[in-house]
Amino acid sequence: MTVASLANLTVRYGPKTVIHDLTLEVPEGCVGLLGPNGAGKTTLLKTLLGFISPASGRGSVLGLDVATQGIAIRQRIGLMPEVDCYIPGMNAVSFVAYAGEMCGMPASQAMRRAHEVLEYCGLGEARYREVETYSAGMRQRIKLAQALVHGPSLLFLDEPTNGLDPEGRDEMLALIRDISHGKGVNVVVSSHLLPDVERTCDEVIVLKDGVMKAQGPISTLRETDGCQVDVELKEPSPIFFEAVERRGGKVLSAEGARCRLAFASSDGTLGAALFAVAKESGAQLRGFRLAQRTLEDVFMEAISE
Amino acid sequence: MSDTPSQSAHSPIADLSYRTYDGPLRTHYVRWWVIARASLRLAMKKRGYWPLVALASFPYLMVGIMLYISKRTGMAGMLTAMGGDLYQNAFFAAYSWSLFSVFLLALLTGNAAIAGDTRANALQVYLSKPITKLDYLVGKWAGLFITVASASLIPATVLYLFVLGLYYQDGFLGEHPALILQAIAVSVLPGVLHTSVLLGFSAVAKTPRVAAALYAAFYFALGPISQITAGILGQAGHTQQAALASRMSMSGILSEVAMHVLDAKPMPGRFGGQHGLSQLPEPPLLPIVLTLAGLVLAGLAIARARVRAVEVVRG
Repeated sequence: MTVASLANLTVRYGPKTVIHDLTLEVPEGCVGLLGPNGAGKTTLLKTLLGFISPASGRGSVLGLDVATQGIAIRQRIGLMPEVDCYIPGMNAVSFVAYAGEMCGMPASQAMRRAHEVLEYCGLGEARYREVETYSAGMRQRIKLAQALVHGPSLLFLDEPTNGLDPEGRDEMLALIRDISHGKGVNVVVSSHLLPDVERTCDEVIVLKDGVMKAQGPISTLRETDGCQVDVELKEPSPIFFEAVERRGGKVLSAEGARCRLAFASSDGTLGAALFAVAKESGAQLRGFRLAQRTLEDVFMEAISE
Repeated sequence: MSDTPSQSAHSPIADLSYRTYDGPLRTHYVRWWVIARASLRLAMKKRGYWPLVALASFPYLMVGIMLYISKRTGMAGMLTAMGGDLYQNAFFAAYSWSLFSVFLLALLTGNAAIAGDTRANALQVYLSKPITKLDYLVGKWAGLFITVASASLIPATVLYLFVLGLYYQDGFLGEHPALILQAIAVSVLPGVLHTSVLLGFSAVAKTPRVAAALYAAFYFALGPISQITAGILGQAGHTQQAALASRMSMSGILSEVAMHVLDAKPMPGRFGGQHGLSQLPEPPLLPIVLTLAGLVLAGLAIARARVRAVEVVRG
């Protein structure tokens, strides 16, 4: 099941093509949208919101056409913009209730729900304060609250941890994780911060210059080719490395007593082989595990292609 | 004491986790009215709102007192100094005396209409909701219009009811059957003009203060410019053009149109009486109405052009 899909979508600002012939499917759950500056992430979000008409191709969000059903889409999604935004002169609860009313909620329901959502976002105590007096962290939370008030099926979060201190960042990520897992809300997180995406998302889409460079579950993308294993020895041992190579393995990297080894294939006897190598070389094996790439490795590899 | 959690801990009321909203979500509703209502509420919360409403209503109170005295003494006084009908002149006098207060009220409540949203990036909130640019502009316009127009419409209506009560026995209703409609039409005129032009300035400016400064400069600059132009044209013998130019200020346009709608005779000293321009002939109404319409449309067009959901990057 997908929450959004694009088919050969091209978006232009005047003569500048920002998204080139993009075809992708955004699955349910929490999806990270990654890419360097100017990759087209924000343009993609705005296209999905129906703000920009594609030059060619088709796109749909929750089964609704982005070119013709922008209003219906915006009623079913929530957007947490990247920049600080609020309605001047309003306190938090009025602001969030107003956001709900704009989505079509009756005034009384919007007010009730505003209290509920503010409490959930950790602003219960400050709900009657004017938003202009809020700290950066509180403003991030209120942006999330106004996006959640009408119970959207899909949330777009643009740089949700912008300007937050480590504690605030942890809390925001915990909120995102909570909303996107088991609450029936699908989330698309656009961020430069790979650790944030790694902590909250199950899948990622990597864009560069308006072209998709990688997509898939994070766990799959992090898998290494062949059979790679991270090994920790008691102390650095060149004899251990020689023994590995004699058995057809390859030392990919070595830093102190830690190294990454590659074997052509694993037939389920990798552990036994490592113990044999250790015995042969006289090295003391402290531990080993199947190697995984970091999301940063995946990202750098994708955008360098 | 029992170690088991209290009943309230299991109650939905104590559940502070995220719950999906399953209430009604209207698909057909007047979207702009939501914005207009919020704008109205915010305007009424402003510190200077009620004093300015009182100031704008004060001329109507004064005219009411003058009419009462006139009724008791049988003398119309300055209201009919230049001839014309007492009631029409009375409404025109109250209207023209309140014009400046209405301008100040518009300035106070309307400067932030769009500029405040621009400064606070609120447009991203508005336009990420199921609201179009047109809904947003109509909502902003309607909110400001109601705020400004009500400051003259409500006192004008109250004055009309007072006059009706006072002069009913004298056949007032029979002699002036359309006066209420004329008074309403005139009362909403400043609201239409100020709201539209101010919305344009507010859309251009990055902050409410700049919007207020720009609009005030525009309002105050037009007066002397129109008078100087009228003086030059009058000296050159172009009396018709001079008469027209003398009305080409915001208050001049509003007064001239109102005077025609009410069919009133202005009191002495209006339209450059001090500058020797009072002898000028009555200017044609059409160019003044067209200027009014042009200002209104220009303000709205600027606002429409400036409000964008997406900042277009020129590459």
